[in-house]
Amino acid sequence: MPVIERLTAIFEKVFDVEADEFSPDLTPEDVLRWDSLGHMTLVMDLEDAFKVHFEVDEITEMTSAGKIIEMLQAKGAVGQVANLSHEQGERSE
Amino acid sequence: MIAIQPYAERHTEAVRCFNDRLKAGSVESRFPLSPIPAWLPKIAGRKIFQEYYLTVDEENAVRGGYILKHQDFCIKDRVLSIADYHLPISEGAVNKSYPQIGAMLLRDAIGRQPLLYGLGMGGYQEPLARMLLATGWSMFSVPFYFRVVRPTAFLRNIAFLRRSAAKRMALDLSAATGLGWLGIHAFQAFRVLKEAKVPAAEVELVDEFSDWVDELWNSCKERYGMSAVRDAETLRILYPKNNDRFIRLKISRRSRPIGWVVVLDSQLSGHKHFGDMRLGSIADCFASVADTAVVVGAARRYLESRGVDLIVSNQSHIAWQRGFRQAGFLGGPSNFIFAASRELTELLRREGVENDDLHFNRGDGDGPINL
Repeated sequence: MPVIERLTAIFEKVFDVEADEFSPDLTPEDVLRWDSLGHMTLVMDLEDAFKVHFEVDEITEMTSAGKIIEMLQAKGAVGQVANLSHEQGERSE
Repeated sequence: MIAIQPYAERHTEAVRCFNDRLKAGSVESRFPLSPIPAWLPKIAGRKIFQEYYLTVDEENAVRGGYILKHQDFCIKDRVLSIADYHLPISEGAVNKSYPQIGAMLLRDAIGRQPLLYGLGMGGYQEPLARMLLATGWSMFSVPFYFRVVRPTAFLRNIAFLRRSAAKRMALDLSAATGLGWLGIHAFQAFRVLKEAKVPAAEVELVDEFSDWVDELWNSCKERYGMSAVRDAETLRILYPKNNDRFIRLKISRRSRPIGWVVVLDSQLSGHKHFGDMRLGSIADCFASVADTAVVVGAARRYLESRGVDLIVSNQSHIAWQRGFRQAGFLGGPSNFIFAASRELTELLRREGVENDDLHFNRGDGDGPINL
């Protein structure tokens, strides 16, 4: 579940979606601030957080939170998430 | 699957439908209905041209588009092709199902030409400026200069100063009583006192730009940190002989050309900033950095003699800013924004080019279309 946890945090930061409201089913129609500017910010935050790069074609496919999770997993971002979570844990100790 | 493709004839009907959806959603922008640009089409051998790109979905519906205007720029002593990113339009503006289009357009443009700039945009609060800022582009507003020629028309039309009923009433009263006329003339006369030191120059109306422009460009270009190539060939493309909207002025001193100016003289009607004024604008210009005040002063007097109500200009280079002030212009609020991509910003940083060493005005970007 680390991808979802991290994505939840990014959705909260970019779109003001509370953690308990986050779901893989979320689409732009469900989220008030998921507009063009929000989407650009989302892409950049995902790239920063997961150390990945999205091609133009991939940006097209980001039509729901679930699709984004699938894309991150396909890019092998799970390990990065695990590392991030580990670093956060270390910092908080 | 949505993909970005060069605009072709087969897309024309889909672009028309896209524009209809924008109109239905109260979005003012429209994408061109012809795939071949009316302004600056791609012609073999030309280094200045426009390209149109579209986002097209699996049902061949157009969901967005943008334009790149490619042009040679001189940065210090290097000539590089740089592109203006303009008119990005997204279905996302009218349909919440398409928020990804804006990011696609920008990513695609940077992929094709990393050295990108944007110009105008209507201010920092506008969606494009906000998106470019969010993606790390550097930005500054290009200073605005104006000179009131006919105070009564100015007071009755200038939207910026007429935002409330009380202000409108006060301005109408000062226009009717002549107090506004007196105040504006007195204030500007004080500013023109400084111009008395500026040497006079000869102004000649020319049909097109010829070899003397090249001599001027070659002798002065290296004093500018960055400028679009302003040689005779480029100017003949930008300001063609057969377009009588552009007024081309050759400015000389003792019969030697020292600069050129492209001015416009437009009778406006219901303009959102200038109402129904007859607007003179100094759209483009070039000269030695030492001669800017002489050139601006000559252009100003020419436009005044034509009977315009107000003269306006936007200028980014410090020598031209100084020239406008010395020629009796006042500074005003500017919503004309220059933005540089991360790659262009980094290039300028490496070359040691500061913002006020860039020469951008209304002749750059998508041209003097709103004047």
